[in-house]
Amino acid sequence: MNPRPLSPDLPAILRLLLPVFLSLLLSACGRDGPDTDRLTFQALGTLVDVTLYPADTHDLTGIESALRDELDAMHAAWHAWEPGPLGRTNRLLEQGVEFDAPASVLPLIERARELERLTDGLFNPALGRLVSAWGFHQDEPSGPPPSEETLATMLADPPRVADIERDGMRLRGGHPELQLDFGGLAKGLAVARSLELLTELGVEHAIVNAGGDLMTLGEPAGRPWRIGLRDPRGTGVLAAISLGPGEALFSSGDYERGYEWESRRIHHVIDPRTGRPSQGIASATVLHGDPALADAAATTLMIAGPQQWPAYARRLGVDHALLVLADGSVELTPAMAGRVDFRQDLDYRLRESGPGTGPEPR
Amino acid sequence: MAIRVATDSTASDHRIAALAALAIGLQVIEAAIPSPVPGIKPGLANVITLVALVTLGWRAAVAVTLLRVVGSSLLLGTLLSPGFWLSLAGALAALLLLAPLCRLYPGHLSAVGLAVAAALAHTGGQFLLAWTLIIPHPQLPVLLPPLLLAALIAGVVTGILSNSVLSDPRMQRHVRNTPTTGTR
Amino acid sequence: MHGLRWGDALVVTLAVALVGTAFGLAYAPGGGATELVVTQAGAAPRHYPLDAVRTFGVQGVAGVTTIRIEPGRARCVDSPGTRDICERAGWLARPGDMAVSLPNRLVLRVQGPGAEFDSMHF
Repeated sequence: MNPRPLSPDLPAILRLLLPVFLSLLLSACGRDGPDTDRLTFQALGTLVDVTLYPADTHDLTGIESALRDELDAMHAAWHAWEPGPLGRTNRLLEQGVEFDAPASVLPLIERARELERLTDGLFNPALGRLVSAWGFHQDEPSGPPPSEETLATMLADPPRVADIERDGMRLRGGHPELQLDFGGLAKGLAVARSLELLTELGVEHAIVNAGGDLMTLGEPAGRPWRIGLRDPRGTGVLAAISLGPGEALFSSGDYERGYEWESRRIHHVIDPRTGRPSQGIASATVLHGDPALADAAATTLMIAGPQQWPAYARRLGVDHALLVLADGSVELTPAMAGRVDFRQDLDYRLRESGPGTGPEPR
Repeated sequence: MAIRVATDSTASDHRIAALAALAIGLQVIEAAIPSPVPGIKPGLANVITLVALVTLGWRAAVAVTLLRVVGSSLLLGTLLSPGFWLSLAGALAALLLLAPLCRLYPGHLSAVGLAVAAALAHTGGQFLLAWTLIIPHPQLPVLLPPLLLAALIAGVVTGILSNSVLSDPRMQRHVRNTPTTGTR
Repeated sequence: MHGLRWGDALVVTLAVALVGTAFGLAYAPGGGATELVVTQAGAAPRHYPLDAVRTFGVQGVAGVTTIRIEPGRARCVDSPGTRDICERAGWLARPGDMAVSLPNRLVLRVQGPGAEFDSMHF
């Protein structure tokens, strides 16, 4: 080799490689530090996790205690089996007498009435007795499940929210079996109320997450909220989704509450058509601007089953839905597909919310 | 496409064209062989880029590389597809790094050093494009280390190949006689 | 080998260092968790850096929750409660990972600069 004009060698090489080095280091860890504060506490019988943006600007202790008080009050008012306003209401409804509705319960009844009508009874919060018969009106659900005879009796003439007669603030139960259980609705309303409270406390950007179901308030400057969807069948992240302001993400799943009975999993979402735990869908996730509707819709789609969920999604005005079927495959609406970013290789199908492949709902 | 890089020499044009044709051939053959890991290829066409670099100079290497990227994508039907842009980004990143490094050849660096640096720059360039423009996926950096490792191995392999090609007496004549790096 | 120069060794060494660093950064144990935050009903959150090995207990309403910290991760070793929910959460290593002791009304969460999500939906 003959000599060549050379630039200064070692520093030159270092100078050249350094930017590459640095840019690669930055690309490997180029995310900002946390720009949010978190509050985590137990309320509503679950874990409540509040994300506040920006960090270091909020009175965390004050917000936590105000929020906890509000949630505790709602929890006490709406609890399906502990004594409280809903318990008293249920007793009076059962007696068939006319009574003054507690102000804390009336909005739920009216919302439930509307959703029951929209879903043609598939979402039926008047079936508290059925849920109780399956062993879910206790902190630790347990069997035995109801017998065939019990179920047949309960399904002969099942109560509906529509059986409650209302005249102004006065209510009267029109069905002796009627017992309200707002399991698929109360959390949505509690989250909505929490966001109102945060707004009253001067918070502008936040997420309230109650046991995995959440809603956003505003959004951080220059970026959307980043939400991870935990895999209902495992421990990892199924998908990521970016949320804008005022979006609620609610799920209903067979993994949430349940017990084993004779090596069968009994879960808490009861199908009013069969009187038994719903089948075919392991979990239903709904994204919607109205958290109460998202909550009820998640329950409804799970009950509707793999054949009919698109029809019920359309009836409820739900464009964004994602369902994990019992076999682990995923179905989602095209609108939802445009929002989620799957983190796992999985088998998924797009289904437009619409008539579906089965018969039209009744 | 600036084929006439060596402004006064049609012989140089011919060499560039011949090298580009070789590089396109190598790239198309490589594309036809399924890779055990998607996205990881040996990049044998980079041997040609290095040969062009040390025999004809940096501008010729740029010409050969651009001809290779465009030509092979025309043959493979991937012109203007994401894969094409990734290929182009990687090639440009590698060339940018080679521009100063090639002055160190052959006194302080052999083709192995050039090839390793170019391979890493190639992967880095592709990755930055993929991350910033095509799929800004927060989990993507997790994919980078294995890709970099593959680039390092591929760089060593293509570097050794380039060294042996360049040490062939017939090539050596060109390396010696062409004033490549000192003229810039 | 024939034709190699000292600069080759330098470039390859730097390249190996770069690849090693990239692996280290991307797959470091914990993936970026740097701090354990323990929240307990009615008390201010307590922060513990995830820097060295240590084990300590936190007194709660139902007993003592024992927490173990190792560089980049933390876990609940022992906690009151019959279902071992807190223990079964395993090592908390990715920013945002949580373990909960319901009887002790205690939440363990690790956080760090690499938190990918603002909130987890499940």
